[in-house]
Amino acid sequence: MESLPLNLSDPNMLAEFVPQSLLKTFFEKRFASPEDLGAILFRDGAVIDAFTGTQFTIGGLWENMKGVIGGSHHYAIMLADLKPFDAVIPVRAISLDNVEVVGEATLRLQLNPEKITNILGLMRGVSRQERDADSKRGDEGAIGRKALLVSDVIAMLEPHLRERVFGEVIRRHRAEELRGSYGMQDLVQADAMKEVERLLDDVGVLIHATTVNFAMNEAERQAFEKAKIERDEAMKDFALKILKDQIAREADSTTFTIQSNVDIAKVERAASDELRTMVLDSEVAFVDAREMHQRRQEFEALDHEAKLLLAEHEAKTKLTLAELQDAVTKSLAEHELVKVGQQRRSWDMQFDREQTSVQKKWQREEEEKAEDHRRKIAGAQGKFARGEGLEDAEFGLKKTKLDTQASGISADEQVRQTREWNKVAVDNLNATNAAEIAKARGMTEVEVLKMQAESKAEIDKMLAAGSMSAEQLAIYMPGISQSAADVAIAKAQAEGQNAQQMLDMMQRMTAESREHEHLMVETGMKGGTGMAAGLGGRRGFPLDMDGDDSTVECPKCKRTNPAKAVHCFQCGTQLRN
Amino acid sequence: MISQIDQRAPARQEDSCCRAYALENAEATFCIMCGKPLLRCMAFSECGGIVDDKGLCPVCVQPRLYLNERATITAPLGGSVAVPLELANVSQVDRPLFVKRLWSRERGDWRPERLGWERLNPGDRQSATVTACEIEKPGTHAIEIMWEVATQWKAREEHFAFSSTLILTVPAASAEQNITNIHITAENQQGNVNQITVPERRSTGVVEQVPRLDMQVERQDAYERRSGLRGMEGGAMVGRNVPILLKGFAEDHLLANERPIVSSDATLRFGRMTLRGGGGNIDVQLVAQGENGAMDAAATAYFSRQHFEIFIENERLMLRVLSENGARVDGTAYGLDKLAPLADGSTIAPIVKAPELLTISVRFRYEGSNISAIELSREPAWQGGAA
Repeated sequence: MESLPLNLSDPNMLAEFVPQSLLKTFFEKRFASPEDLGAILFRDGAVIDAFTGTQFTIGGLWENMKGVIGGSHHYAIMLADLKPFDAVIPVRAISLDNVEVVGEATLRLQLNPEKITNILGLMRGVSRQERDADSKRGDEGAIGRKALLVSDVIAMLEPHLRERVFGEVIRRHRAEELRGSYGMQDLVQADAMKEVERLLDDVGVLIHATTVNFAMNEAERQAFEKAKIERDEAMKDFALKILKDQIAREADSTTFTIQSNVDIAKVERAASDELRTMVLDSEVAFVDAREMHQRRQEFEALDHEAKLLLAEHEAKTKLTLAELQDAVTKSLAEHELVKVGQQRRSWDMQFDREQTSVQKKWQREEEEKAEDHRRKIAGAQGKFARGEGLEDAEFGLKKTKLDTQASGISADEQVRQTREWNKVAVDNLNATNAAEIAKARGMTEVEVLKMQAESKAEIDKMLAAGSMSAEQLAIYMPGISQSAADVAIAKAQAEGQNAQQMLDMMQRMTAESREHEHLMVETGMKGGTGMAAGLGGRRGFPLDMDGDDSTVECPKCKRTNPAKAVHCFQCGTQLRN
Repeated sequence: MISQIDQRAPARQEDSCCRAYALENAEATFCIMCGKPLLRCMAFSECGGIVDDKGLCPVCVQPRLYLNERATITAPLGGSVAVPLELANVSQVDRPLFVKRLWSRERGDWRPERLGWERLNPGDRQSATVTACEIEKPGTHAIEIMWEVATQWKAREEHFAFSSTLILTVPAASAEQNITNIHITAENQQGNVNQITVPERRSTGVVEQVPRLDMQVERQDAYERRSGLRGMEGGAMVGRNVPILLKGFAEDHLLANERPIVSSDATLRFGRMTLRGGGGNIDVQLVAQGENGAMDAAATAYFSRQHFEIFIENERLMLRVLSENGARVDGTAYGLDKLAPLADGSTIAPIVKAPELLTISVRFRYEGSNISAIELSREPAWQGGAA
């Protein structure tokens, strides 16, 4: 059979009787009382027992028969909430410093589960034969239905706690000391528990804890207002300080210009009232020069930045100049070195030239001496010859005279003829001597020119090696012609071209070498039949092409295939089965 | 010819005769033993490799994935596991790999992982980490790891995707142990199954580490196609073994016809120069024909000696301009060294300023969804057969 649960009719209800109408039944009924409710069973007004978590069976045929025979009984069940509940009691007291303190005290109470029946002591004024005020007349089921509310308990406790506990404890504390006072709370809790136990322990009410929460009292409100005003004042001071700082900064960066229409000496001498009058008469005006000042500051900042940049640029320029100076010095030193080298070479060449010249001069002197000697010998020989000739001539003259005399020619005529012949002979001799001298001189000049040409060639060679220009050569070697210098430059260019040709030839040789390498690689690939196994790590296919030199021609494409070929390598045609 | 090629279409074996003969004879275009076309790698001059039917050169592209021996894989149930890995390039030739991206997933969408490096030189190993985020339930979990690899040769680049799977077994947490053991199972390169049971946390607090694992790597060709890494729009793939049919050209202007691209540099080159066998470097000569049927020398001079080349990259048909004067593809002018993709119906006009002089139209032949041949038709066609 299904059980009907028994419950309290209101959450604020602490205890109440189950309506009798629920218990009046002919057939059997079952009621279940949960664990958190205590059920007190009455029979004929007497308490039978109190139960938690049980079932009641009421009515039934057998019970009715028993009632008919032996008489009936009146049964009643009262339910009591055994769960803890909070009773909130208002608190109003005067503190030590005569400040009204308002708050509320929360008491955690519970009906004693072990003394459930004691709760009947709280059901004051309960008359199970009376009707409820809200019950209708004639409703038999409402008879004896009374209840205990939480408010009933509060009303019972409040008069005892108001002054005895809360008033007494609060009176011992100053108003501002109440809030957050752990000791005061303990004191209140101890006194309240002691008082509640004294009052309600016999009627089965337990107290677990008490806590008082205070509303803001006057002293706290004043302290709050004071703190707020102090904070506001502090904020104002802070704002004032910020404003002062701002004004100070602005004043630092603000300049006023006094514009005056009167004599500056008069302005300087004027008292404050006179100055005020001047200002009012617009004789003196203050011109805000902040913008100008700001602009000046900006100019100063820009000037500072420009100076910085200038200094930086100057430093960089100095550094660059120093580097350039260093480079120039180095170049000059190198140039001086080159110049010294050139000078040395020039001196060497000059020495060679002078040595050559001296040698040529000595050689020419030697040759001239030899020529003079030869001429003297020739002169002596000529003189001797002329003497001989004269003697012969005299002899001939005499003979001629004799002959002339014999032939009849006069002596004067013979002398004149002889003289002419002698003159012819002397001319011939002089011509012969001049030719000899010219020949010797010519040979000497040829030798000189030859040596000069060799010297020039040497100079040209040095010029090409030293990469000197024609003008430089002309400075150091005044004797060298422009053409010789050009020849030297052309020679150097020719050597450069030869070098380029050599480079081209090397590249061709390298390219040919690379092509040769490719041919070698290709040949190696063609010949590397076993390479297949090595490359893939797998078994290669044996192709013994070298073992059989015979070939076969493809009937389709006419290409020559190895005799072992089953297919043509060019067109794939099958050659044999 | 197409039928012949198709008849000998079985998958190429890696240890076939083709690679050996390609190395034996640099001019060979077919293997003399099996008769298959020699589909050389774009970097054949360095690797000497022959690409497989999926366009991968097994000599250049040899990636490996190792589970790092430093891996500590103890984690509580519901936590995440960071798996340290090493990606390696075990190629024996001097061909670097470029690892572009790395993903992982337990289920659902791929999750990109951080990768701070790209180049992987031969013999090198680089570290990476993937994080398994969903091991909230006990049982067997699979972590899939996928990475994108590229190999480069001059301006060309081939992309591939590889993946490997890591099995995590997460037993249910017992009452006595707060630590859940995760067992890792993976297949190594030889196909054996290694199961490593991670020891429990000992009283000393030391966690043992798993030994290094060489994990099995698989090519993800389906993902390559779906993600657009390889293949054309619409999912069609142009394989390296697809023959190219040249129509409208004089016979003596062609090196060969109706065969795949089998040149040593894996390109089909067009230009005015002489053909490959005759001292030139050209597969198809571009020659203008005059009204009298003979060569129009003046018009032919507009073609460059090497004008453009066609090749297959990432299973797409591509055109690269070799002429300084450029070329038009589908009406758009492309300059020197520019790449243009060719699709079914594309038109190539070698002369930018006079596209009507000669055009080459591209058409694909399909067998199902596969491209079986590529037609390159010259317009106007050369009249009279041989020039």
